[in-house]
Amino acid sequence: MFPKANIPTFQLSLDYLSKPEIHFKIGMQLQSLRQKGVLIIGSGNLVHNLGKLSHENKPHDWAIEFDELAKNKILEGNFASLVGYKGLGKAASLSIPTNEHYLPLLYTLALKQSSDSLQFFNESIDMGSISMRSLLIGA
Amino acid sequence: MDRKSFIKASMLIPFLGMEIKDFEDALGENVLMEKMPVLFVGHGNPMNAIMPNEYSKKWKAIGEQLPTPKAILCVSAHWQTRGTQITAMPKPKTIHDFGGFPKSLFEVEYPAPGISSALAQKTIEAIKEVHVTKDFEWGLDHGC
Repeated sequence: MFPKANIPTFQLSLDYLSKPEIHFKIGMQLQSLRQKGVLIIGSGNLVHNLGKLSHENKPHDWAIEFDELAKNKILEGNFASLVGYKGLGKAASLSIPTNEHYLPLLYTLALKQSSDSLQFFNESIDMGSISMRSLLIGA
Repeated sequence: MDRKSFIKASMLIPFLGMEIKDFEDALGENVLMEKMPVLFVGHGNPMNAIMPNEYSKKWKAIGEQLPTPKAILCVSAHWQTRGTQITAMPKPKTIHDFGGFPKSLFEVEYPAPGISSALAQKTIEAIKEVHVTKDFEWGLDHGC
């Protein structure tokens, strides 16, 4: 995204032991950095199941289902149900077998204010079980 | 002193007595800017970093469309720790945290500088939910 590699860059780690609610709250508390010129990027995948990769590149039904469900929850602004993804059924559990690729999404959503615009990009499922769906907020 | 130069000089009064570091802060990270956008990026296959494909083309286009940030904070799937940490080294190394990919991918370096200690401190203070510590070992992984 910034090929010149000239912008100071740092990372925030994901604590193994924190619950999704805590990750969401940490995300909310980063809001003040936006006004200091810091671009915050959550980097992961909404659907990420390496055990179910398809070499024919055909998306699994459950991957499409959860990707679509998450898209709608995001559009509705219903982030609480995405924080509580464990209650979203079988498609969610197949899409999020471990949550490290999903949690960065919660940081990004936590930063969306009501006045911020929302755009999706790279809306496709790669190798059967990896959603590339990405979000640009407030641009 | 004429009126004009008096006004000019008096504009500097708020800065008198400041340490150089504070002065830099006042001009830099403390200045409120228009809110930066926020991104979630589905990164997928590490090869996307070097393959020109539909995903990486879009990343490039977004990078060109965004205002230039003063700093980038990346929350990557690939850095899980016990406790919450931020990287605070001056020159973060590029981490090739994958296996079984072509040599050309292992040769990719992203030599972005690290952040000022003032910004590290501000980030730590902003996060009240948990105690955040500084890390000097990690770097920038393939999620970033």
